[in-house]
Amino acid sequence: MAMPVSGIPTETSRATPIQVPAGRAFARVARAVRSNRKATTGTVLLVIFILIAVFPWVIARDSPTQDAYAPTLGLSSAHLLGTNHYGQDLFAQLVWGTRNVLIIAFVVGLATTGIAVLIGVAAAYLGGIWDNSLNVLTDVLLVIPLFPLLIIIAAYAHGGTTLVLIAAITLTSWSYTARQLRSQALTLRNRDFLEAARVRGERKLYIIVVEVIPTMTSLIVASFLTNALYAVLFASSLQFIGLGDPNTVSWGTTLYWAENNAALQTGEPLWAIAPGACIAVLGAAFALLNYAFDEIGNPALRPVRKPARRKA
Amino acid sequence: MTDTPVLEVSGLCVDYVLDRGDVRAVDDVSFTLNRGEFLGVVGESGCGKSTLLFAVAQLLSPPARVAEGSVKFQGTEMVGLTDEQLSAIRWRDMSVVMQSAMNALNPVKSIGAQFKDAMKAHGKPTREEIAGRSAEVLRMVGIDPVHLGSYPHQLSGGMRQRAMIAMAMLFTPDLVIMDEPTSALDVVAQRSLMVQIKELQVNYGFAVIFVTHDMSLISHFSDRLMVMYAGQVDELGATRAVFDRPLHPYTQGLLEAFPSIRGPKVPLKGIPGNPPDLARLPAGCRFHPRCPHAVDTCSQVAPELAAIDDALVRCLRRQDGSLPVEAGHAGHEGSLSR
Amino acid sequence: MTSTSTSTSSELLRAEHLTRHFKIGGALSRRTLHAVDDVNFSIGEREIVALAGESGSGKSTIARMLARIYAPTSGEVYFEGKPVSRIRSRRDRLRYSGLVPMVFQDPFGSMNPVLRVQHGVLRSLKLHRPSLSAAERATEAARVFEEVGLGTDMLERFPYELSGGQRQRVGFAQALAMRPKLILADEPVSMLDVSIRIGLLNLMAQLRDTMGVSILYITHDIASARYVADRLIVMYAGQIAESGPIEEVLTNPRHPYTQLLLSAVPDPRAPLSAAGESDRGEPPKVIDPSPGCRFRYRCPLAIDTCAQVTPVLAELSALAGGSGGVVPPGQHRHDAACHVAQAAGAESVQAFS
Repeated sequence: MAMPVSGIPTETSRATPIQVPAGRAFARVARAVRSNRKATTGTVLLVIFILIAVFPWVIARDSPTQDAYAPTLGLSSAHLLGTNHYGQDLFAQLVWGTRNVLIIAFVVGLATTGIAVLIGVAAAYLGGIWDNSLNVLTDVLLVIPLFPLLIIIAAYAHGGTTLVLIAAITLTSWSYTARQLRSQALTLRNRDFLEAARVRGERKLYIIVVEVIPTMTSLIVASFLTNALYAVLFASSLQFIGLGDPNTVSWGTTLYWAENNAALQTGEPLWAIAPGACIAVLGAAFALLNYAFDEIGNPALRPVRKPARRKA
Repeated sequence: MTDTPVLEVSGLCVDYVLDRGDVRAVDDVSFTLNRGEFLGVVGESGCGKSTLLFAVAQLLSPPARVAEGSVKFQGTEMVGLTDEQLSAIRWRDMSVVMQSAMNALNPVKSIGAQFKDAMKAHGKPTREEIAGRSAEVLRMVGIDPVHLGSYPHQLSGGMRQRAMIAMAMLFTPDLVIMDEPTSALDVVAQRSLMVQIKELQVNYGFAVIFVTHDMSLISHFSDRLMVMYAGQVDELGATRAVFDRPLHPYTQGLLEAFPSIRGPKVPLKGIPGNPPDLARLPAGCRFHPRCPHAVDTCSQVAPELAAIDDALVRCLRRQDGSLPVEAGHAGHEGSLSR
Repeated sequence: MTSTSTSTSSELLRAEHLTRHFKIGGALSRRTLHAVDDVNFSIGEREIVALAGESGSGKSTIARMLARIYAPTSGEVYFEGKPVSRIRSRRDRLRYSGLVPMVFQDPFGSMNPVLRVQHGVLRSLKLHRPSLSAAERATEAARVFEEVGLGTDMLERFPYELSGGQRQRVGFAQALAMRPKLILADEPVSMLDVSIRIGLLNLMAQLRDTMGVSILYITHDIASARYVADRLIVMYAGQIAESGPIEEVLTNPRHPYTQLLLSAVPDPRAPLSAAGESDRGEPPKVIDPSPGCRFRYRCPLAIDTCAQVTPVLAELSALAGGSGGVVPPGQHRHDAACHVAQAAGAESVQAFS
């Protein structure tokens, strides 16, 4: 340590971190998740679903597609949710269907957010004609009603595979997030640290990727969660109306078959209710995580412990 | 002429209720303010001066709350009053001027409309009364009443601050609380506004609590000066006395940190280190890690506020006499008033 | 804390007729904001020049033109004799930004909150001293931190863990890493606590004295300017009102605006001056200004010429010391842009006394 020149006190870091505990980013996030009830619930639920999707054979011994059993059996220990009209084990269908749903959710979430980040942040930072043209593109897609567009695309692709579903949903969803991200990037554009980077001589792409995007992580994570949630809902809806591949094992397709066989009217209500419940719970998991990240990122949103106020 | 002091604060403590435990932002502050007195509250960021102000004005919002102590305004205890009870006092007897007019004034309403709102909140004035009083207060602060129709963004920074002060004067209160109203202004506008404030104060006889970080500025206007550090009062005395013979080492350090325009050029040191984190205060005296005169006891015993001559100071070594008081700065002849 | 040498060895930067206008209003409006108009000054080696003025005076715009954030509307900046507007290639641009870096005002906004504190320094080194290896860069970063008085344990920290004063020191460290000749410091201490400012000001003086770096110190606080600077340039409404050696300008201010400014600065050790008390400090309008002195509306000494002819910054006949109008070589002259002051020559006329 060099001798300090007289007159200039050497300052060592005596500052303590404020609210976020010191440590690597992962440890920080882990601690934040544990301390926030919404985050814990959401994470637990999501992890359960992920485990089910990755190891479905551990939970459901039966094949989902084999119609080997007697139809319309009630609940029993052999068939936790009974069997459907075709003699397929409903529980196994839902368990194996988790995979399809989660794949759609994560891929769409990542793809949508990825495209939105590229377009939204680039538009904000590059400005000028780039901003104008990208804005036109975004706005056009934003204005077109989403669900009808989805139906048209899916129908045009002749009710395609999961890939078609993913592509269609991604294509129609990125514009909303792009708008949001562009707005936030715009507020950052004139911050001093970006000007400092420019003055230092950094290239534009470097600034966008290294300096701008990392400061937007909370919005990007929130967008990912929102997009994943909507992917689940949209995909299930499309599958329900028959635009998915009816032979894929998924919650939406299970609903499709349930509807086709008028399950609610013919005394097999679980066939329709169970997949619906799964969709709802997974959606809730994403939504809870979304709220939780909001609160973690912005302490002003946290629930306030109200101390007792003296009334005169 | 009543003898009741306008404001009596005793043992006031304000806590911020946080997840990791409560943090005490204002620790055991007591002072009295008499009619027509101008009290300057000086300190750097984090010393608690703004929190103190908000506590006195009963404007604290969660997670901040008054943990202990009392604030008596003209004999009435204010802590614990409901909003309805407070609204009777607010603006009529006690008003507040904020740091930034752009934060305090409604940007979508004209100045006149905001004055009208304030007046209607405290009675049923007629249209003539509103117009008359609004024009009168604007003239008091040197603004042409034609600006009643202007919006805040149409006025310059200095004029906006004056408009805020005019609004605070609507009911000629007994106490006006000011939170750094000049810090956003340039030096000429600042001087002009301060002179205006002082003039109003002398003419209308209200008491003022003026929070600022700029000791040089307040030195010419306040009757008494209160120096805060890390949530506590470190020194309280007559302004001139504090400047001529600062008792607390922090006050001394602060005064020496202002380079002067006139007089000989001397190398200055400032105060090394940083103010403490209120959640992790040093043992003993809160200032001792940065104090050039600290001794061992300073890190063990937390000093209380005690009287020395006519001032109050929170320093062990001053109180036990081991740090003799000398004249810190050459006093100047004559008084502050011109 | 002025430089011990009285002669400036050579001129580092020269601004000639520097002008910057901004179009304001919508696309159809033809109103122009004259942020900077016809400004001429120079900065030598090893000196701190204070550029003082109130908000709207144009001082920050000048800094940004020198940093090449804005291009001048007209006029030219010469650095080491070569015009800055001719800098085109990426290599030249990098070289210039390394020699003339900027330190920003806001300690809380000038560092990226999600990156470690050493990031800026390491990037500066990577871009401007590419011959260094990664290990050498790390050593250099540590060395530069120590030079500004920060412990090397701070390198790995995040900005929120540092105080305002420490962050500003990091700003200087980033500038120093590039081995600059001239640092543009845009109000580096205005947002810091008073007791912390002196440390930074001392650092600036040290940089000039031991490292020979020149600094353009932009401020609205004349007292701090006096503490560190060798020369003072006072700006008003986008033009230079007065410039000269700082002690000379402060003891013998010739432009009425400078006199007003000085009278308004509070000094606890002296009673408040009544001079110019009635002046409200209303900012001047520099939108499509008419010719003539922009200060004339507030000036008690304004004469007819002031409303017709814009005063030019010119040398006053003699310094207060009475050197008979001959400026010794190496000394800087005392200039003022005021018809009355120029007419009065050696005499100093008090507008605000």
